[in-house]
This record gives sequence, structure tokens and C-alpha cells, in this order.
Amino acid sequence: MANCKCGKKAVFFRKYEGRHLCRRHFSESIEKKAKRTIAKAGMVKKGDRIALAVSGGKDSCVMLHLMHKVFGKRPDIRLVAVSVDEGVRGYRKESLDVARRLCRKLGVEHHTYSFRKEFGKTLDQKVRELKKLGKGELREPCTYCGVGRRYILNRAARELGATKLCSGHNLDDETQAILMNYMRGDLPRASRMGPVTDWSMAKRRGELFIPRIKPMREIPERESAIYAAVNGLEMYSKECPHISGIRFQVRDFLNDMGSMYSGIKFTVLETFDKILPCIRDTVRKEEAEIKLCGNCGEPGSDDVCKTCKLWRA
Amino acid sequence: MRVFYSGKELKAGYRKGMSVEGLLKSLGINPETVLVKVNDEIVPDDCMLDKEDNIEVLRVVSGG
Repeated sequence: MANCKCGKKAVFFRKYEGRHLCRRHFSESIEKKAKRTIAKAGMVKKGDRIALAVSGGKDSCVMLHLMHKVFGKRPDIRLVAVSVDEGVRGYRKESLDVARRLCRKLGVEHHTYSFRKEFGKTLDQKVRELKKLGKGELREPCTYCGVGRRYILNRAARELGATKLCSGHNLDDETQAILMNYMRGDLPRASRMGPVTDWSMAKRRGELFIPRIKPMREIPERESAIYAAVNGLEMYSKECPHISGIRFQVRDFLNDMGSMYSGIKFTVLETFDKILPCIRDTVRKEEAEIKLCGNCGEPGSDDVCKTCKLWRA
Repeated sequence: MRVFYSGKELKAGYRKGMSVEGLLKSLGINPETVLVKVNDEIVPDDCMLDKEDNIEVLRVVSGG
């Protein structure tokens, strides 16, 4: 078997760099990459209180581990973990147990919020309700879950006094979202991507929406999993029973391309980052004014926000 | 050679000079979506296999 440059047994062959890496050099390369991503985009500033969105899945556990490694000893940076219990039987409780254990081990303060408490029902109940209404009413469960989760995470981060909201989105998540936004022609959503979510378009937004940061956006999903495994991180790897929709077809397409052309996901991301300023310029000119939801008071683009339309109607 | 994919044993034929990547391709598994342990150790895709190996293929792509 091939060895790392240090002579130790390799655990990974990074095709797009043409090098074999042992446990230590593989881990160091991931940590270096995350630090570089953070520095390059100026994701973290002195005095930041960072809310870490942790579900207990591998990517959020790796993100928590990396952020704690980089900022855990910095007296000027504070970390707090936030989880959302969507109420998915046989799935979420188990993953939140993993998140709790990791936070306890690292000594990171941890808060859990739930769909049941916030919206009066779980995602399981919502899906059952929608199925009863018939096909015309049924959107993908991921739509309800994503909208509800983002809403709760933003509000929780604000209530906890966080200045940043950090997620474990990896390179695969980012490239899937880029292609999906193109396919849907959703420029407003594309304009909010990038390493730091840009809420500078309206000053009010910056106060209501907590800027989101993604330190793992240049780390491929597979390498995130290998990092978790070689560092002995406990992680929950079961799939959500409600998964569906176009994302999974896009994911398979990108993985097929990635196995044929190594490094192609990086190219998708780099190209997107280059044209992002143009997308933001276009959206700025066309964008509707930010309104406060008449029902819950949270920010949105309509008189009633999307969360209230989907969850409180 | 015994191969387990997400806990289930798969039927896989051993060929001399077969690599992890070759095995995955023969099983129709995209290497981008898994990590592979041979005799309990994580190995790179170009690792050569032995007919006595115990191989564990773990799915790593997220699903929600």
C-alpha cells in the first residue's frame, strides 16, 4: 500500500492533488483548509459569539470539532451550539443524543429548540397531515423542514446574542445548492450563498438575520466523513426517512461527475464564487423590500413570512 | 474475501491485483459516496486487496 510523504501508512489518496496522506497529515490538511476558508472570507472577527448549528450528523460534528479546535481557547471568541428537533421518529432523537454528548465532551454550551414547541406539531405530523390533503397540497417534506429549521436557527442565534450562525455545509452541499438554484432560476437564493451570507442589502436585515458562515464549504463530503472516522468522532449516519426531491438527483449527478473528473466540484464552487458579485448586483436592483411578518414579526419578503404560510396556516 | 456494505454482506468476486476502487466499480458503488475499511483500517482507493481480506464499505453521503 502507498505511504504518505512522512513514510506512514496512507488512509487516503487525494486524487485532485495527487498525494497519499496518513491519518495525521490528512487531519492537518482538513484543519488547514477550514482555517484558510475562514480567513479568506473574514468569517470570524474578534468579539464574535458564534452559534454552531449541530444536528449530530457527521458534518455538523466535524464542524463543531474544527471550530472548537480553532477557536475553543480564544478568550475573545465565544461558541454556543444550537440544535433543532424537527420531530422525526427513529431519527432525530438519536442524532441529538450524539450532538449533546459531543458538546458535553468539548465543554460547549448547548441549546435545543423544537418544531413541536415552535409550530405546535412535529415534521412527522405535518407530513401525515399533508398526505391526507392529497397530492396537490403536498410539497417536498424537505421544503417544510428547511424553512422551519432556518427560521428557528436564525431566531435562536439572535436570542442567544450570537453575531454569526455557523453551519456544517460541505463542498457537496454547496455545489448541489448552486446547481439547484440555476435549475430553478432562483437568483435571490443564489445571491445569499457564498462563504458568508450577504445581508448587507438592507441595514435592517443585518439586525434581524444573523450572518451565516460555512467554514467547511471547501471540504468534500467524503473527506469530512474520513476526518470524523480517523479522529474517532461519534457521528450519527442514518438517513432521514422523509428525504426526497431534486437535491438527491443533483447529488448523484455530481458524484458521478466527481468520480470521472476529480476536482470538478471545486471548479463549480470557484466559478460560482467568481460570478457571485454579478448575481448580487442583479438581485439588489430587482429585490423587493424586506417586510416584517404580520403574524410572527420575523423578517421576510411578504406581509406573511414563508414559515407562517407553511407552518401556521 | 468478505465484503459488507452498510452492514449487509455482498457477493463479490476476488481478482488478483484488484484495488479498492476496482472492487467498488465491480459492485456498482461510486467511490465518492463511501469510505472503505480493510481489516478494520481505513484505506485509500488504490489499496490492493488480498483474498483473505474483510472489507467494510460505509456510505458517507448525507440524506437530510
